[in-house]
Amino acid sequence: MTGHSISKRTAYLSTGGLGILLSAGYLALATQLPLGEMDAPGAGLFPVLVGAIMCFASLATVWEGWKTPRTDGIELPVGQDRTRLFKLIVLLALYFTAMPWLGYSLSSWAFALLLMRLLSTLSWWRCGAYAALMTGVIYFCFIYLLKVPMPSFAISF
Amino acid sequence: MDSLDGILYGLSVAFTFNNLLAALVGALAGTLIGVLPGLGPTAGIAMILPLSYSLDPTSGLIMMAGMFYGAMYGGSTTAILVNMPGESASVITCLDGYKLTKKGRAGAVLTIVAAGSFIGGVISVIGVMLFAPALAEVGLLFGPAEFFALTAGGLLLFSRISGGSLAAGIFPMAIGLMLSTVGQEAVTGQDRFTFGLADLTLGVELVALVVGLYGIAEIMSVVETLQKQVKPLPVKLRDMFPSRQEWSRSAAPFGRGTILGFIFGLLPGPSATLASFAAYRLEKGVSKYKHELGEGAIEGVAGPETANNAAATSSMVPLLALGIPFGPVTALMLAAMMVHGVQPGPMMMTAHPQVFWGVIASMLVGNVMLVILNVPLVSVWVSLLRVPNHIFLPIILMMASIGCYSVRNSMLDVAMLLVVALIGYILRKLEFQLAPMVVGLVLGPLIEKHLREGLFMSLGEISVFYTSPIAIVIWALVIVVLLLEPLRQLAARMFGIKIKKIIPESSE
Repeated sequence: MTGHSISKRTAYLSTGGLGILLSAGYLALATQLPLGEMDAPGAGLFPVLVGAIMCFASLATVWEGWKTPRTDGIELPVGQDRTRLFKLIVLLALYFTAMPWLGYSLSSWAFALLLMRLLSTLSWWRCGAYAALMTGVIYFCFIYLLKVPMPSFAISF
Repeated sequence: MDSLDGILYGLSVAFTFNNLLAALVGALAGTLIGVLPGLGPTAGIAMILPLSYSLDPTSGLIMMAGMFYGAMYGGSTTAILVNMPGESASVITCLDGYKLTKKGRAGAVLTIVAAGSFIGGVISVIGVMLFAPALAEVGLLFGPAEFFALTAGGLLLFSRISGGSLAAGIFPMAIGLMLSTVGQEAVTGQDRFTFGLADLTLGVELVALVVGLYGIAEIMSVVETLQKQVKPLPVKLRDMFPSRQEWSRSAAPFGRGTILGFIFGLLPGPSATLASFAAYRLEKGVSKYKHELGEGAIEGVAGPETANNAAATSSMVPLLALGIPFGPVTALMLAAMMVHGVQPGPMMMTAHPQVFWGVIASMLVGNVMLVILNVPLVSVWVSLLRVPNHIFLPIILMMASIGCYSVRNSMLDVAMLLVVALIGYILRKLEFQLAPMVVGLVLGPLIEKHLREGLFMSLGEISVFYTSPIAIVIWALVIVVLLLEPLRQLAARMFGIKIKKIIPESSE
């Protein structure tokens, strides 16, 4: 269900504006780095050039936004689609935040459980069982067999 | 070592047990990645990149190359069966492939695709064998000014050829270049833009950027449009045999697709995608059955699918011979080589012949494996398409976090996944291209290195960058290609001459 749209013109103008601000901040930091001489360029030379390229790219984005007809739009998700997408982002944020504290296995199990509940109509029990199976297989392949050093349970009382 | 000796040596490297296994695993994993929606070759390869560090350089690169051309094949399966391209190079295949499926020819089309991919891949490997050593010899004449022209000009071209408007290409490219300057600077060890975070001293992690942009952002799109998914019909083995007419109609597109794909692979840009679009346009122009294209013509599948596999293979030439990646996948391969201490470029053939010739020879082996395994295994790949999203999406996301964390055991990299994914999702909505950001991140340090070396060696004389004959030729080519589109528009506006575009509106 994707019905809602925002003006492409506004989106491009905003993106270009943000880009100009970003390039200004970046250039301010870049100019604090040693520029060196032309025959012995310092660490700041390339970042200054990159900052100028970013500024140009942002201006090009603003210019394209300016030239875009007001009627052109960008489709955005609405209703359940938007809610589902938002919930996925929140789940990912929680997953990555919890991982160093709960450890990889526990946080992955909880994440898989909640994501399956979000994407399906399966019961909590079945989601929990599937999540445990997935986490177990991934743990066995990557952490046990391939010795990938993932974070382990870190909360202590 | 000439090309023949080289390929014989390469075959002896490729036929060791470890390298055969790496090619097999890579080809199968690549097909799987291509088949599954939400995970293209770039994100898939990025996820296994850290695992390849534990292999020796040859095996690691063989596995990555196998994944690349495996994904080209796998991507077409979903395009043909459910009208949903597994990766961007198969977008054009949907047009005729899905119509042929509706006519009950799905199995035969998949066989034609396997045969075309095999022919395109194998002939392209022969081209790589002949062309890469010659280009490497030319590369020996290159100094900092020439390499600067090649990397900076190549990046500029890449961002314009990737499709879309001017801003759609150069805005992400500029972000990629900015990200490439984060971390400790190579010459003086000066920290840049690290904001006191120790994890940023080593720079922005490529795996996090690629998995975020291509993997998680794509999964966001899959989750957003969850209700529109189509499940495929079963494909039986007895339906896999094309008719004599289908074979004969595919022969010429196979040949045209191979030549076109090989040439596109040598150029900066999303070569596999551009090659498949260009092959389709070519078929529309020259095919005897051009009136059927778009309505379910086998030429519309055979040409593009052959071309994208040929391009995927020949895109190794600039990487191996000059050390310059002209696409996100080859950029990842460059990163893997750097970790292994293998410097790709003109000297690679003599310094690391086992990697150079081993990878090239493995592509022959891998393509044979693909055609032997994939035709009989098609029902397995089709059944994978029936795995519900709520099963494979959590698995992909869990593996993405492992792949990202394991590169340097940094939670910052994992956190960056989400930030990058959000940026990628928004940029996609704005119809911006993501590949220039990845290539910008990889080429940024090389451009800076050649710029500083050039200035240092010429005692600060800027003219060094545009006075050498090779640099002049490279810049002239860049300018000509950059001016093609404005000239096309000018010709249309002033003289009413309409020239068709080869480049798609978007390559992603």
